[in-house]
Amino acid sequence: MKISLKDIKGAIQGLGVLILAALLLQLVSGIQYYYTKKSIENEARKLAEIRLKNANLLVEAGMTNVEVAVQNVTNFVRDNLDSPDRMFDITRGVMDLNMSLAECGLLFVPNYYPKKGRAYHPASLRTPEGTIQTIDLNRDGFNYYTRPWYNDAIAKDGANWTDPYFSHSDNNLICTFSTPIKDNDGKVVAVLYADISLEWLRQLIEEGAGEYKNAYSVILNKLGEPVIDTRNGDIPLGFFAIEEPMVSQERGEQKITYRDTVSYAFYAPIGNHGWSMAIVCPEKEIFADFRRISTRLSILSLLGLLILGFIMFMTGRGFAKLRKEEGKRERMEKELNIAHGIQMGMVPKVFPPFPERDDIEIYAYLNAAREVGGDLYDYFISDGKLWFSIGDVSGKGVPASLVMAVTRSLFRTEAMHQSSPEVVMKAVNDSMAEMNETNMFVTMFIGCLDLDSGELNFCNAGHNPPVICTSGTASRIQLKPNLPLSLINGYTYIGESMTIPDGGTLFLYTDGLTEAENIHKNLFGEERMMEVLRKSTVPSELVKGMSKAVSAYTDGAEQNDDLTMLAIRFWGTRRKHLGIKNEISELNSVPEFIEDLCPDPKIQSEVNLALEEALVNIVDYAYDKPGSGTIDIDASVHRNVLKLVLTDSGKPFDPTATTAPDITLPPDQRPVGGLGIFLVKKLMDTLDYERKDDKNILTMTKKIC
Amino acid sequence: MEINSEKKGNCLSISAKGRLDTVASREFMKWTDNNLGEDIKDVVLDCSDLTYISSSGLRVLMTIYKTITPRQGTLSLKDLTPQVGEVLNITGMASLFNIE
Repeated sequence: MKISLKDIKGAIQGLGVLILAALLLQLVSGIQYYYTKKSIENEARKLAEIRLKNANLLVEAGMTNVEVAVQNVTNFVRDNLDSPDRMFDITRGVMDLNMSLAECGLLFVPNYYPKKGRAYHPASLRTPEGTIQTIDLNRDGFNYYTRPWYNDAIAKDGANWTDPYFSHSDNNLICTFSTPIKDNDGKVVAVLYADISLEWLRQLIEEGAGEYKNAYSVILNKLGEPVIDTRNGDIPLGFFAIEEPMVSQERGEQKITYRDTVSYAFYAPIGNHGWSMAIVCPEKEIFADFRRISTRLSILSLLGLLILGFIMFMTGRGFAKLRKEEGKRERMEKELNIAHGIQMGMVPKVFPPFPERDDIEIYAYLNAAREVGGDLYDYFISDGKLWFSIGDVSGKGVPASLVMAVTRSLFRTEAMHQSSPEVVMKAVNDSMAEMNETNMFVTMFIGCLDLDSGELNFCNAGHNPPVICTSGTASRIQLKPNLPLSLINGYTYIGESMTIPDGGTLFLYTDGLTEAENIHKNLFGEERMMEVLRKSTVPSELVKGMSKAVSAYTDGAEQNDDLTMLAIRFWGTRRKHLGIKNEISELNSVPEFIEDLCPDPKIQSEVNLALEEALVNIVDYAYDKPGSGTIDIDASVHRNVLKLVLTDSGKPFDPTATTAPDITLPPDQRPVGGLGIFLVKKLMDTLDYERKDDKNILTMTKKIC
Repeated sequence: MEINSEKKGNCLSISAKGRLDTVASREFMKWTDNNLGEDIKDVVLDCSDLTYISSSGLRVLMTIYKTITPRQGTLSLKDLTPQVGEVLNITGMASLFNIE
């Protein structure tokens, strides 16, 4: 395999696409990662915040309930200090009303009721079964006077909440609200207390740690000591980074790092007593699912990229080729359109091409089977000669069009300064044969029509013989065979000549006409062509009629060859001159002079008479002496009109100015002469006089057939 | 131009062959001067072989006509060729002569 620059370019392009795809994927992943992480982070934060808020609300509500329940009975206790036994009912009542209470009791100051022992301690306890048991706790021998709830309430001389602690009896987490009871003298006689079970709070914070396996929650008291935690006291040291803000009753979050473990800590105050709760989640766990999904996504992306790369590797060259082809095709199309324009600009297309001339009518048609074709036609007038050509390059499309352009240029160049078609043909052939590397060839017909004499010189290089059309007839010109152009350098072409019948039309065409196919692959053929050619001699009618006939015949079948037609109608001008002396006897030469200009005997006679009368006038009036001057008679016939120009150098005399004789006069009043000019006017179609360069110029015309 | 004539009493029969153009008319005019005697009253011109006539020729005919009319004579033209007939028509002279 040859590795070309293009292949390398293609490979680089492929690699480029792959890298671009990877970068895009990376970018998308990155953005997705960032936002997903943010969103998961927010989700965790929201969850923590909700938990914290709930905990706060529950703690606050629970504690307030206890406070209210306890405060409500203080007066009742004081009023019943006289009946120590009623204290059991009082505590039971509090318990009945507050289901969250684990215990409610009254610890009287030592020896307040001597009959009841040192430490009278009526209380109601909620049993595990949910019933309420009333008991004097003095009997269990435990010294309750050391308990914080007792001392703090007395020390504070007011209501007090203890920190949570584990009850000594059943090891439940509890928290005690206590308030001193004073007698009417304001002396503290007892402390009324109620325990609130914090097992629900522990449950709550355990839920708060939630779904995350290694997450934990901690509640700190106002001193920053952990009162509840879900790690059974095994709080990582890293946690204490948030102790300060927690103790300051701040709400917030912080990333804490402990032994390479990054955790998110969310914290908020709980209740009204300086507590603060924190939920701490290892980052790893928050983003665990996300990490897993991200990893899977990354692997999938990588796999996709690999597959993409593989496909590109396998088909890269194909794609590149396709892309190249596509671009090439578009470019080609554009170029072909331009080429079409250029080619159509090469063949003359303005009709009539010589509007100022009345001796030549030309009409042409070129329809390339593709955007560009190999047919050509051309014509131009130079030095009183009409040069024209029609040609057909072998093949079609762009190659043919290039040869066509060259051929047409060579034809123009050579014909401009050569004298005869065969010389032009040879020159064109030699130039083309020299540079013909593809063995293409061109059939061509070159004609050179002398517009003065009407002689047509032509040379045919293997082209279809043109057809001469006169009214109602059409016949092919018999041609001498010559080789097509560009085959053999130095080939000698033989030229021929003929005269186109006056008003006849030369019809030239390429084989795209006779070989036009209909859908059944049948050819238009020469017979159909000849049939159309017999219908008219007007070039535009001929060509348009032929085009219509071909369209009707092919009926939408695809055109498979270029089709070109060129029709040239020529009206020759026959000229004759006669010089005579101003003598009557000279008039004898007039009949013979006129004879061959007018084939019709009647018209010939009329013209003869008119000319004679005009000449007699000149002989009689222009010159003083017979035989002293000359009269020039210039006759020409063009497009069936005879023109006679009589020129003399005699005295100015305008015969058209003479008044016509009154031929209605009675016979005896009729003049004997004066009928000459009258007859001229009557017999000719026009009569004009002009005095120019001291000469009388009398011009008369007559349509002769 | 070939002219033949035959005189029968006061009638002169003329046969003109060929072209009566300007040159021939001069000749014919001379001939007329010589042959159209005062005794001639009617003139018959055989035109069967007269292929052409110019205004000069018409002048000759006019001259003959004007000569014999005062004598109560007539000019008859026999067997006109179309060409000659047309010229006579164009010039309005056909109405003057007795066309046979």
